[in-house]
Amino acid sequence: QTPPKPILLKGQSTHPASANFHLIFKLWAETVEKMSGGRLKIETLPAGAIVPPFEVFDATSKNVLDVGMAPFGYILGRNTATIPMSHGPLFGMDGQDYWAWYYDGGGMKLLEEFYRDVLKLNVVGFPIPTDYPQGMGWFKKEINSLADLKGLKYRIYGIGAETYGRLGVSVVTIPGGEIVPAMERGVIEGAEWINCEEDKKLGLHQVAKHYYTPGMHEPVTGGQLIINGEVWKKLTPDLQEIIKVASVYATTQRNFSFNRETAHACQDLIKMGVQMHRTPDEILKNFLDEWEKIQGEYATKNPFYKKVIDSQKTYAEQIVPFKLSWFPPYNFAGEYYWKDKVYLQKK
Amino acid sequence: MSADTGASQPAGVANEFPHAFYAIIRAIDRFSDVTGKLIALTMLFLVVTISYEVVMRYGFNAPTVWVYESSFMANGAAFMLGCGYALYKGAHVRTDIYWENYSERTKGIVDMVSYILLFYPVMITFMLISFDNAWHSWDTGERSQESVWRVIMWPFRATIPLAAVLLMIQGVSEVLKCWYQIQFGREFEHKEKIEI
Amino acid sequence: MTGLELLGLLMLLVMLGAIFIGLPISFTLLFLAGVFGYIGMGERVLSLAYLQTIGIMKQDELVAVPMFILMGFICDEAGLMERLFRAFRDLFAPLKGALYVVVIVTATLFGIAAGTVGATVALLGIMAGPMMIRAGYDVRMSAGAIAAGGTLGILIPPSVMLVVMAPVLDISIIDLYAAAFGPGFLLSAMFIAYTLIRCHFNPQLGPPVPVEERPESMRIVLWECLVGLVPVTVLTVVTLGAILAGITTAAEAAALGALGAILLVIGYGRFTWDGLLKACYSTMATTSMVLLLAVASNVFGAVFAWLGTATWMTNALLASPLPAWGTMTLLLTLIFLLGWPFEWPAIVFIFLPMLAPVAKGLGYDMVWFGCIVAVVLQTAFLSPPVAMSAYYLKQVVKEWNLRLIYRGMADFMVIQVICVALVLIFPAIAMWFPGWLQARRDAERRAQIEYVMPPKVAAAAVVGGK
Ligand code: NA
Ligand code: NA
Repeated sequence: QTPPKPILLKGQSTHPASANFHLIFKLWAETVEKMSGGRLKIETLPAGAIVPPFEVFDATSKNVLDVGMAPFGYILGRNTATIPMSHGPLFGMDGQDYWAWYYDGGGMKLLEEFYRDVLKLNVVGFPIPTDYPQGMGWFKKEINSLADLKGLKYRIYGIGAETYGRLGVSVVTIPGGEIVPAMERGVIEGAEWINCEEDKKLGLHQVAKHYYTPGMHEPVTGGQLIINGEVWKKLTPDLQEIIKVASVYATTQRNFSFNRETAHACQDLIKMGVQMHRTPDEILKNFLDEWEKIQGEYATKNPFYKKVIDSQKTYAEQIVPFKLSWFPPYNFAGEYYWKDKVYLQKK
Repeated sequence: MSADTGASQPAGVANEFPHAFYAIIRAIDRFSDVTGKLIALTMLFLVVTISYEVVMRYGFNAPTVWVYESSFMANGAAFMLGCGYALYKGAHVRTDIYWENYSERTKGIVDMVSYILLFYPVMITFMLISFDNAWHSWDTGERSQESVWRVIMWPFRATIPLAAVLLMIQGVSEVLKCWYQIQFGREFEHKEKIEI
Repeated sequence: MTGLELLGLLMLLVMLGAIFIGLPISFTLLFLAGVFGYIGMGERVLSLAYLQTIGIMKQDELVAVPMFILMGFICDEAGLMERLFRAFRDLFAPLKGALYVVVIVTATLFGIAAGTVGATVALLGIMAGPMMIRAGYDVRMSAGAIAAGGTLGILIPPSVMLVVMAPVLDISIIDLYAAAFGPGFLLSAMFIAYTLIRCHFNPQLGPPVPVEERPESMRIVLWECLVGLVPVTVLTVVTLGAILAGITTAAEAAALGALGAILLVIGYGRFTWDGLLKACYSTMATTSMVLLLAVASNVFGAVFAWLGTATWMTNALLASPLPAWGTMTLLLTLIFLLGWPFEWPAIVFIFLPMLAPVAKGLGYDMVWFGCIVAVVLQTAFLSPPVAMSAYYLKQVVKEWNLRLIYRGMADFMVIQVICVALVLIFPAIAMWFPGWLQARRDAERRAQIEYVMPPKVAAAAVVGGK
């Protein structure tokens, strides 16, 4: 008996081949192939190979691609609920809790409903959290209070832009590749991108020397691994399970490495003389206040938005207080061992 | 470049086609000319808004939220919608290597065949698939996302099916012109080659 | 090679045949992509076509296309070139072969302000043609100088060809512009040197301008030169300066350039609303044509990629036993040969995306590659049978026959090929200027950010090695 012909799927991500996001995609495909004993093979093309990055969701839904990997941020305009489904203050949850909400707090069910009834995309999706957490960004001058931020031209993405905009910051959203030149020629005076690793690649340390972290806008960036609905239905249950499990493995594995890579990048930046600061609490507090107001408006206008945040709130209400109460504070034993290595001083 | 070269029936030609034949060509050409010229005003819009943005940014330290998105959307919409006008102006390129040596009648036949076999199937398909997508955008309330401007997206997406319609309307006039060319062995009107 | 890859190859061959016949390129590409895509991937090809279309419509860099075209049209109408031409004619009058130099210098300078080949060749033909005939200039060399000089504008920035090429190669327009200056001016210098040297040894080819046609006083000449040069300088500073200094994006600079051109027309007292609107109408038709071709080529290219033929072709070329420079020479020869039957838009949109991954795979700098391809493509205007330059010239100078024009252009094409070889051997010709700009930017950055490292932080930064 000859082995059955392997199933070949065509996949494309929204990122260049070297990006962490694409590396997860690749590792996932390799893992699927291994776990299925070669029965399922997935081609992982980088950004733009078949369709432009912003069209990956539509392309997968229409089966131009069998598989796509894209952040929800790329279809932010479709529905405001893409925000809590992918980033935002998330009621105190961190990247891990956010991922847990999907698999343990009812998020997967909502995701299914989101695709089917709200976005009307014929895909099956799996959450791929990456790049957590993101900083508040780079500035030419020190930022000691919200007042210092007001009137500043600041490049920021997604809900960060909406919120800081309302707080009187002059927000601009320009693509990643244009941030450094814009900063250089004074079009903007501050900019957030991702974190030490990715910002260093972009060259932000060459145009600003004050780096602030954390931000409240992106504790995590929620990507989506999506498979066309018809393609999914044709797969046997074991292959479907392999796809799911491999996505969890590949995401965790790459995120471990990415965390370490980012740690080294932060050290490199400091060695170069970048001044890393802790974002003043006052700014973060104001940000959360303003965001809650905006979120309230979104929730009134968009029933599905309300459904998502209600579910997240319910989950966060159980997990966050528990972790705050039960988990030892990260800084307790951390500072016991590494106090003099901490490179941020609280203001 | 006179706008209405095709508007009148060439002098000294026996009127073998019914009057309506010329009237249809005239009406369609006029329609494409007027719509095309209206769409062309987008060029002035782009010059003015983009210059305004640069002035506001450097002069007043106050960049706008809308110029960036509005400019590429206006450009995208305008060039699609302008395709019918470009067809009227004979702007869509072909390779002349053998074309130049064809007789006028052969040119007419090749063009007629390519309109019926290539052009119309492509345009009808394009209209249907892009209409579907514009509808989807309307249905899901899609908004823009490259800036905080957040403008509704369906009108931008709807320019594709509309562009296909404009092209198909002008296509009718062009097919009739081919027919004329086949019948009389000469061009209905001469279109200057447009360069870039 | 799989069945799908073969299907893609077949699609490519049918496409070549179809556009050779003379079918309108955009519609043919869309049709073939639809048919072959349908065979290979079923109905999904329709969505692929749509997604590529909306993708091109959303591309922000492409706003520069209509803006530069508009700027060119307005400059043509402003009569800048007539002024420049007269000024230079008077200045160089006593020289042997003066009119050749005048033609090329005018074309070069006008290339900085605009760069539509048709308008440049036509205007030079109208102004210089009769003068050259009267002065007894060599017909071959005159026609060649005008036809070749007229194409310089497509290489010297701003140039619509470079604007649309940059996104195809995934590089910045700024870098490509900076790189194109070197070969552009080199070519112009080589044209001038060639005509002057030949006239030096054989004064029959280009006698000096007859005394009665020369101006009376040198002061007037210098004044005219100055006035003729001012608008070009202003536009250059506004558009190229703004782009190269990194102050604006190419699209923004192009819009400012168009505005600047309008202001110049007003300054010259030649402004009419009618003229402005006409320029907009022409811009619209041209832009729609170019960008629809971009859409069609992208749809075609996406189907080609989906079928896997693109990757297969790249790998096949990369696996060839030739050394890197050998493969590069092969690529450039291929582009050169494509330039005979095709005009540049077809090459840039359809064939360049297929060839660029090979250059990238060989490790070549894409800015340099783009620049050298631009020089090769410039010959597309000069290579018969589809030689637009000759076509425009023939239209305005009826006395010159097409065969003589072609013969004249052939000499200049040889120079063009030498220039390509020079850029191939000495990449610095193209890369020196972008490199210098980069170094200057880096220096400015360093001056802006003086990092002073607090000792405590520096100590804290030392953590276990990677
Ligand atoms: Na130019
Ligand atoms: Na040619």
